[in-house]
Amino acid sequence: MFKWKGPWFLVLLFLTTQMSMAFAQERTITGKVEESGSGKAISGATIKLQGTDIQTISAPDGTFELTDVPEGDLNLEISKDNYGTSVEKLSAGTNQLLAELTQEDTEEIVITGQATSLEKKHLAHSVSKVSGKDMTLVSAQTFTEALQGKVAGANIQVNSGAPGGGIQMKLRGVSTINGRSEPLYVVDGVIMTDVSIPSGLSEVTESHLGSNSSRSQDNAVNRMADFNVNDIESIQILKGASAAAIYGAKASNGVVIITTKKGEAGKTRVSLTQRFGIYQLSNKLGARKYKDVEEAVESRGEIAREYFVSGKTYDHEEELFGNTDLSNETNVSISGGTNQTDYYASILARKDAAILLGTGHEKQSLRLNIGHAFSEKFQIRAYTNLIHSLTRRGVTNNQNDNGVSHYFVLANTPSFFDQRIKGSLWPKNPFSPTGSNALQTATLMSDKENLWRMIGSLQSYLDVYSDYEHRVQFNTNVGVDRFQQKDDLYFPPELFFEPADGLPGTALLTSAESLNFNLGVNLVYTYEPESNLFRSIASAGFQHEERELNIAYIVSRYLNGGKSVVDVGSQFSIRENRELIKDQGFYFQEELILLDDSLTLTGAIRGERSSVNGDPNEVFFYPKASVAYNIPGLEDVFDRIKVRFAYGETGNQPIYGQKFTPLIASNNIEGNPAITNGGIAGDPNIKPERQREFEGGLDLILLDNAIALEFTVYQRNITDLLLQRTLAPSTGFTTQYFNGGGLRNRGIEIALEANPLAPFDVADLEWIFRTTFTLNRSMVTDLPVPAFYTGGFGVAVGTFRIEEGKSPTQIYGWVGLDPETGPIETNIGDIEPTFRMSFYNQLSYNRFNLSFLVDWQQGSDVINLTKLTWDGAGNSRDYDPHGRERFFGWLPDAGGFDFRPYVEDATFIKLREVTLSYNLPDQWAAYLYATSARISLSGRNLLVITDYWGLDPEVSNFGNQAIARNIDVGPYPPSRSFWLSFDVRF
Amino acid sequence: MKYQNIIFILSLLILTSLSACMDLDVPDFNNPSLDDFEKNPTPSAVKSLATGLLVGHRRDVAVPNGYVVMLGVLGREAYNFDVASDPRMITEMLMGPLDAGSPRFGGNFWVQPYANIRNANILLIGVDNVSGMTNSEKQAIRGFAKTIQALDFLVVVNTRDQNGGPIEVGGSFDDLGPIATKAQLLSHISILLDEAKTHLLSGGSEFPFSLSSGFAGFNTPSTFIQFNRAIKARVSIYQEKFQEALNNLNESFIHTDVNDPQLGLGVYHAFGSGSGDTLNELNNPNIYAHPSIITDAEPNDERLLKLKSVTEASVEQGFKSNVKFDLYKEITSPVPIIRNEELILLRAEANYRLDNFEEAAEDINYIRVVSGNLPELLYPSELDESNILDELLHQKRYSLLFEGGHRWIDMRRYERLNETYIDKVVSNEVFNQSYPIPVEETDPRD
Repeated sequence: MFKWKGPWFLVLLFLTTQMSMAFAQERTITGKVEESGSGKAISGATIKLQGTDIQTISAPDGTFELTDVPEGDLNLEISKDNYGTSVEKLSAGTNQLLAELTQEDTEEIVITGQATSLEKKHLAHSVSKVSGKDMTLVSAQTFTEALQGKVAGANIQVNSGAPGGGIQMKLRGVSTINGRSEPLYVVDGVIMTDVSIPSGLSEVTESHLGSNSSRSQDNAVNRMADFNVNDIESIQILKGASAAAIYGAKASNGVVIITTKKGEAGKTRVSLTQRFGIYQLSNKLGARKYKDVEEAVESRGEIAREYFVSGKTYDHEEELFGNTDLSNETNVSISGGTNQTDYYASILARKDAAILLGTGHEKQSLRLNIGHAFSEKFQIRAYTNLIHSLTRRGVTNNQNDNGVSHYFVLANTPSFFDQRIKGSLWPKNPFSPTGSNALQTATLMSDKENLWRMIGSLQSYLDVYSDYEHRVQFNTNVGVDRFQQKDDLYFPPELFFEPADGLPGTALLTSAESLNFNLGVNLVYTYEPESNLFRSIASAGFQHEERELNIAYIVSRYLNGGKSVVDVGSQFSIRENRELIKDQGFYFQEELILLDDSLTLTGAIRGERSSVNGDPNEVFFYPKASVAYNIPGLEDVFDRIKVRFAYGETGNQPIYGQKFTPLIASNNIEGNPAITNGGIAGDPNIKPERQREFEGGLDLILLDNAIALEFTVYQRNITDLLLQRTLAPSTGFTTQYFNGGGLRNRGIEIALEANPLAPFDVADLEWIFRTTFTLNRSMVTDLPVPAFYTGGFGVAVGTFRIEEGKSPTQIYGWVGLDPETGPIETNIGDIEPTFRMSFYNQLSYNRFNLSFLVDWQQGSDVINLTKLTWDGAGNSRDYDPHGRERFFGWLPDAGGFDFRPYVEDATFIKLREVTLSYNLPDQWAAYLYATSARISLSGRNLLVITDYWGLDPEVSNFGNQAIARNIDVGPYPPSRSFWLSFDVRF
Repeated sequence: MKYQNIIFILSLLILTSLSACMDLDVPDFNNPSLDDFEKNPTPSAVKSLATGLLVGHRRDVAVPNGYVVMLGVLGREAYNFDVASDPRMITEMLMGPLDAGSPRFGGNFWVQPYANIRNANILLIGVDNVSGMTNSEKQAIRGFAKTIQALDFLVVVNTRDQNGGPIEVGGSFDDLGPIATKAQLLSHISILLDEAKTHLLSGGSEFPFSLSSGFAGFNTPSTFIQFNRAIKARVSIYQEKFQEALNNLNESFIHTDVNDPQLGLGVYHAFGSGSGDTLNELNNPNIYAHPSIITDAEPNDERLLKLKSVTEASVEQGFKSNVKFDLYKEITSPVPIIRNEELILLRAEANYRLDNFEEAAEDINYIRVVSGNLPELLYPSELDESNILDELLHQKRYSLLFEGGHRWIDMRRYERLNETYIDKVVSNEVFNQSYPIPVEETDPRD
């Protein structure tokens, strides 16, 4: 976020040398202006003789020469934007001066283009900036998790409680129906992919064989989860088209720009963080408790007599999800440098033991960032990052026709049945159709997702030309993000459900290779006339990007010899999918700062072409214009009043393949090759979706910087949606891609930061308070096809309906039966929250520091099919009588047809983060040869307040989705974590 | 300065390499394109598309929510007790009504046949445009394609009954043909089969593409005609054109010989366990046989060997069973499309409806003896006009048990799909007469 720290701060040092003056009447003062600390030359600083018009401006190398100076003692005023003013006393006879100016730390620099940045006060759009420090207060498994509750305008939700990731970030509501829904991530100039690659688990759960054939039900990790949070210096989030137009057709879902840490000249700094923690199951479904054997028999059949013992029940969830092994995280970073070269190196090793037996997450990361200045005019920076992660996520989410996924098996496991191993024998579960025992499954199966990822980039900055008024910079960047994800899944023949298909034992090998390559050149021309009337920054550039993703799945069944390699099977199936996307774009941007720094005008245009468009050579243009005005001459209460307006356009590219109508050649019958029609018709004219966003805002800083308020409203209209219209199946095709229709989002975002104690003089006590408020409303404004259902499993059990004039995330389901027309289908919910808020408090007293973050979602609904499944199996904790009422109220024969009890309010208040830390006294730190040391106790998701019946209202069976989130189908249960951390700096 | 030169050269190199990758055309790496096939079909693609019709027609036949199981459930031959995955297996299927919005519960038996009908149309266009194939090869493919297309239309008729379905397939996506009646569909099927026969007669001595092992004995154009006529006979029965049915049966592979009965002679869906092939999943553990099959059986009917006893399973709503099918023992066991035993029973039905009761009784007794190992019923003392239909439907139930919805279709044809003829297991059980037309089909026409 942002931080305001008192008035401009200035440090001045001077050196004087005695010099005899030959001609007193022509006194000339020479000198140099430097940045304090780094010693970097400051050009364009004004050196003025106080009370006169005698002044000059420092040259690009920082030197200046002030002529016609009168004799005697005098005061020189040295000033420069963002550096403040320094007044220098020069005694008679001293004609040389080395002035140092300290850069203000009050005004953040914000990235405004591919190659330019401006002070935040000039910015015409809302920008959310999160510092690395705020990301690492509590141990976070993934980068996205650490962002939860910290960004106004962002809705960040986990898909389940599984370790290692699986989180979706949505900025400013729904911006697409069928297009890509994840933001664009740019890390030190590299475009990093956030793709989620299914492990192939659906081959065992058969989740794709039900009424929704989506293979995204494997609870996949979104790959941004790999990133090491500790390396982050800051994150800047461009939420909409008005800010992100310069990123063109990949920016409709926003752009997340991550800058990693770099070293500073001076002493070598070593920082060590060691954490220990545990995860604990934080919510359970519970199970039905039977009054007596007759009730058990009535529900479970005669077989129940053999097992029912009055008063004896087992907590199956505790047995499965009760793991509390120790987790740990070690992060070491070393940074430092000289005036020429700086470096930052870090190493991370973390291990998270997850609550479900046999699951967990490990991550190791190595990073080296190096910067080198060949001269003041030419610098290069190199960033390298190697990541390995190993994730085991177990078997959760939807299944079909078998006893694989834990919460489905538990639905069929009455509380009086003991699933635990007896000696070396697993009890077969007579209440499950396949005899499946969830505890056996969790114990004997294994799944390993191994990921190796290499991210590297090289950037160069060259001052081509500079003088007092003009500066031309040329910079280049090349970036590569390459990873291989390998999933090994093993379900041994001994599992009770394995022989169900006649092929005991399943092994899977999934291999995914991804390559993102991007290359860019930028030219930046800054012009600041001596008259100081305006400042102009013009930039232009060119980018080329390639993204390649190949995924192969090998499934092997009927395994010999208890090995998990795929070649021991006797029946195989193979799938492969490849894609390659090439994009080229160019842009021109002009930023103009006028009227004594108070007015900023920005205009930009980007042109882009891409291989995924119907015509790969057609250039699509994305313009942008904005204005920001700081009201000048403020006094008293207000330190700043800024009004801003911005307009911009972005696109959302078609998905690879949407322009082709394929025939499917991967089938055969008894080995005879066969081609069939794929049922999906492409559009040879497909083009990107277009978003037009208008944003206005008011930023206030008041009470001597004690309160900073940002208020933003926006409206975005998205047209040419990538729609997948359902065709009448009698055409032989079921769907066709095309561009059409429109969506609209309107919203309000408020960010407030306050330092409530600042106006008062409270010794040793500091309080920082931040709150965000997010409200968004989406509507389908135009739909050229009949209203259609998307996502979910059919309207009988809740689905989404895309309908003109309605919210794109409205949930449709049965509410009753019309004897004439059949089941009545209507709107029974919406996943759009009424609003979201977060509250962050940080209290410091002496060496103690307490911070906590509360995340509140009001409204939003979840389709709870876990509840339907448990009610249907007669095993829900409140089955008698509520579950029975719900289920038979929905059961068609009871005249119910009412699905509403299964669409639930997802309002929650979560205590996301709590940290209590204590900075050890310096002399204690000194015992450790350290400069500082801190010990802290922290927790994540310690408290959840919600009326939701199921495990966690943050849930998505289908993973990251543009629309069809919030479907609860036997997910991995949520956990809370507790951490003890030591931070030591040397 | 020196580094400036380096940078300049570097950026020139970058720009040069960029100009080399200016071509942004990326093909479809994963699939051949329909456009290419229609414009420029090759003989090998035409042949693969012909074999593809078998794959398309096999889709959703032998999966746990497929044609055999679901029609079996509706006809009270089978249960799918997988309520944990989807309670609608009981609620919609046995307590109704069927949801027009759900692909899992019936929509698939609309989407798949129409997709395959379109496949056949794509193939027929390809055959017209292909070069490098002889005329007789082309005729053989046309005859094959139209026969399979007729079978796909028959899936539509069998699942939708009086609701009907469109005949025109393959035109514009928005200009949809009218929904034809059941009678219109049946006569279209009948025409297709006759056209197919004409093509096959000039189709040479062998098919130019590979058929599956399910077509053993019927894999040349001349023997394939026998299969074509067998299908036509079934359609004639459904059309209540009984004399025509007898004529078609005479041209089919119908065979009666007590010493060599060959009841299984016929054409089958073949399955395979190789990658890209499809398994027979009818042995799924959630699938149970309807207990009435045991209780309604004549003592010692050998066809009960198609069943096996298991531990009783039940669902919340009260349905239970302790029998399973033992018909499809392997994951590659074939599923009949049409076979000799059905043809004999079709002949019995045609004769009965033409008042040739003695001939009908003779075929029924043949089935009783060779299929059920049951004693003959004497005509006319034990079997006559009054009970011959009951006996015929009874024999057909046991002979064609769990082979593709015959029971449901037959009971519906004779208006016996109700509680007068079928005992309700639970009081709120209903008998669904047909699947609704999916909303995806009706919505664009509204």
